[in-house]
Amino acid sequence: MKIVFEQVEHIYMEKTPFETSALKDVSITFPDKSCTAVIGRTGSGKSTLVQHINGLLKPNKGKVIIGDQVIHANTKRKHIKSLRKKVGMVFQYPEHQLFEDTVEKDLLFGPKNIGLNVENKKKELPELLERVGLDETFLERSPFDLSGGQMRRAAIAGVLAMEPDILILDEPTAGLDPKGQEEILTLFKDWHEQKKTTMIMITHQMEEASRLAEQVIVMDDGQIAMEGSPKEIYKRENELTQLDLDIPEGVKVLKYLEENTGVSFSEWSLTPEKAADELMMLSNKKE
Amino acid sequence: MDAVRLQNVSFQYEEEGPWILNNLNASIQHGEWIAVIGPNGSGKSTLSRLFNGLYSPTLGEVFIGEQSTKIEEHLPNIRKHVGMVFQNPDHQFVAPTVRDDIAFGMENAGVEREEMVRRIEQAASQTGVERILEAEPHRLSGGQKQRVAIAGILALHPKIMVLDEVTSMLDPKGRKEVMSTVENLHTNEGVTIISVTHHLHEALLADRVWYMEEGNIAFNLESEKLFSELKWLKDKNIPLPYGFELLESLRKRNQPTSSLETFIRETVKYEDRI
Amino acid sequence: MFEHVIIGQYLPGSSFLHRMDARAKLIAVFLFIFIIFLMNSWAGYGILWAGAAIIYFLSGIPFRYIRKGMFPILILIVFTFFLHALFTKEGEILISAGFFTLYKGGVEQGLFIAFRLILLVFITSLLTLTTSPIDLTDALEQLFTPLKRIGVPAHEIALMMSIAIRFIPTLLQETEKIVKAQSARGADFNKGTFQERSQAFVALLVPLFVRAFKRAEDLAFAMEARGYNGGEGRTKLRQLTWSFRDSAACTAVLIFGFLLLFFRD
Repeated sequence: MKIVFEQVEHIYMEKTPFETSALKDVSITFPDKSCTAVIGRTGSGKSTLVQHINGLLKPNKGKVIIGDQVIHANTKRKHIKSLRKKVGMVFQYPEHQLFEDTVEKDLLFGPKNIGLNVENKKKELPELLERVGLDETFLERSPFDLSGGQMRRAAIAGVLAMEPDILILDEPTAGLDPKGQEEILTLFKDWHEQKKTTMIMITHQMEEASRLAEQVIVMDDGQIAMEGSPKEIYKRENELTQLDLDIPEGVKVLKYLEENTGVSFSEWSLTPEKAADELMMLSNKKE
Repeated sequence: MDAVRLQNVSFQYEEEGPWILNNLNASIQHGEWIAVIGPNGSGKSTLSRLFNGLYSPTLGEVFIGEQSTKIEEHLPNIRKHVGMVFQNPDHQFVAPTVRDDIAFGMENAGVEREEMVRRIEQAASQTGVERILEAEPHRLSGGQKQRVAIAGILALHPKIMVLDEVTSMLDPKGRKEVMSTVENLHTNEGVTIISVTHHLHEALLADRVWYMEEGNIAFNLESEKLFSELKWLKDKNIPLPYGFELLESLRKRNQPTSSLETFIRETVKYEDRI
Repeated sequence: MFEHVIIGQYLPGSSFLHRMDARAKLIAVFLFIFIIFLMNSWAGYGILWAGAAIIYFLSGIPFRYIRKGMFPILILIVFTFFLHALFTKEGEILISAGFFTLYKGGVEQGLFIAFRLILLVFITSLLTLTTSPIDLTDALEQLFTPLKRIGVPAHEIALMMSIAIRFIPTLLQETEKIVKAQSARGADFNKGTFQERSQAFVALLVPLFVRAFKRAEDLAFAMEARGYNGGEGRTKLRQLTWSFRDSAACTAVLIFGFLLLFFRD
């Protein structure tokens, strides 16, 4: 499902002394079935941007078009509610939203609220749990007895169970160990490839952005500072540093090797194995 | 005299419960920086809470200098010498403002007021929070809160600082701020540091690395030697940062790696980068 | 969204009242309330109002903040007025209509009670508007310290209060986040049947409680790690300074109250 922002402006606490403008004239398109990473330092407006997509926030000016639905300052609540069926949102530390006494009930909370058939959904849950790296033995367990990583997975499954056309991820790997981060990222990558869900991920880590997204948006001070493919974005290392952002470690390493050994790599998104192959080939050639 | 000595330390949360730590024996020198790495559930965090007696070992003893954490009377003194910073920046900020929070530990230790005021200024400037002394916690970033926590410990003039995954909830900027502060304290003040971390990069900053696995210290070696254990880590299914992976791949192909090693070692340093 | 929350209703400033020691303010307010409850004559209330007006001018607080604080208890005041007016059968009869009789004494009694409530809220509002919650906690702790001997845990109560104040913004942020997360899962907090809405509130309250317990546990560890061991042998960074202004203010209120005794019926 395509998402279009047209000159969207968002102001927090309008007409009070604390008025702050969180989005300033933002226009951007997220194509259908695409995966976009939104990066930027804390307070740059990333979360404000994505919360417009399922109507948690409404623009003060401009409009947001999601599929065939238009949201603007005067859109009524009941029109916004139908958005919840289309847009799934995995918040930062989603495990904090678990509340039922069994994982099964928690997984059914979303589907029930948006009017999906609960009996059918129940049958699908074991498969869904497998997908997030748990299994059906978890259904009867209390979410509060799980480990941190398992809770995260259960909470993610609770959002996926709503079968959203659009999936929004707000730093889904925050606070996990490297192995857990890797697994969660793979999970979403697979989901995107198989279900063709339009996906938007907020992240601080360029590595994650480059692994998952074909489009990267860099935000700063409520505006879109850069927009392009990951490769195009990495080229602007100086600008990124100014915005407290790092290029992926891999790119940094390869750039260093290019400068110091005189080789030049075919691209900067090489896996370490491929990069090692190229290095070997190139140095053999020299000899 | 070692700064810290673990002597046959085992730990379980409850009788009949599983053993979280199994017969650990190790020691830490004054001024050393130990990085404790390992997967979730390996006992890292539990271990970190033994150093200042928040947990008492079920078997064996933990010595801070000459004092065992098992003896209740030693605890106030031990807690003055062993400062601890936790993972969640918001859950350790006790007081209404930065200034009050830095003072909290000193108030507990009964430091005189004039002395407190002096030490607050000093600790705040060492951690770069001198300009936000009047700020309330909900107006601070995670990185700022962690530095305030460090300042509160510094004001007690600790010998040892235990950091339990202090950067895991921070953004890249916050991580840099906190790690450069820690590096400074280690180099300039000679504080002994024990840091529990997921980041192999952070482990490279340390002098020694303990790799924890199922309640054991599976290896305890100088961080320089971490590069030669990459294959071992990989076999343990630990995702390695890109540079490490590339190193390992080059090594498999018998390619020279020394310049890459230097590069990685240089880039992990946070000091002077802010 | 909640980062600009003002805790309590404290309005920072530098008026006479703002600069007074929080202990002096507490003592003065206590005396003033004592006087309010002793008063039972028209003249006495008139002078009390004048006194309250003087205190108000010393506070430098815009009147709308006072009004805002008064508004919620307006219903209570009106209610108690009628309660007393209707059920006190003293003095001459003003209106009589069937079973309903209004006595002069009743109206007087009703007005006095209403005055008391208004003055009470007025004066305590001025206290909280001009004193930061933390100074107030400190003052309470110090004033109650002598009561330790009879088992009042002054330090513990003060610490609890200051931690509670410290975590109000955190709690608000967390509430906002969970409301959003459950709304995104289709929960509706504003509409729907009673059952649907209570389900939505369970989905909010359970996570809030779980988080609060987790936070309390973490906080306990953090405090213990920093050597917290009760109030014994603790020093304090925060100092309240009692100056001439404070003695003068307390004395003034005391004399004011003493003089008012002559206006009692």
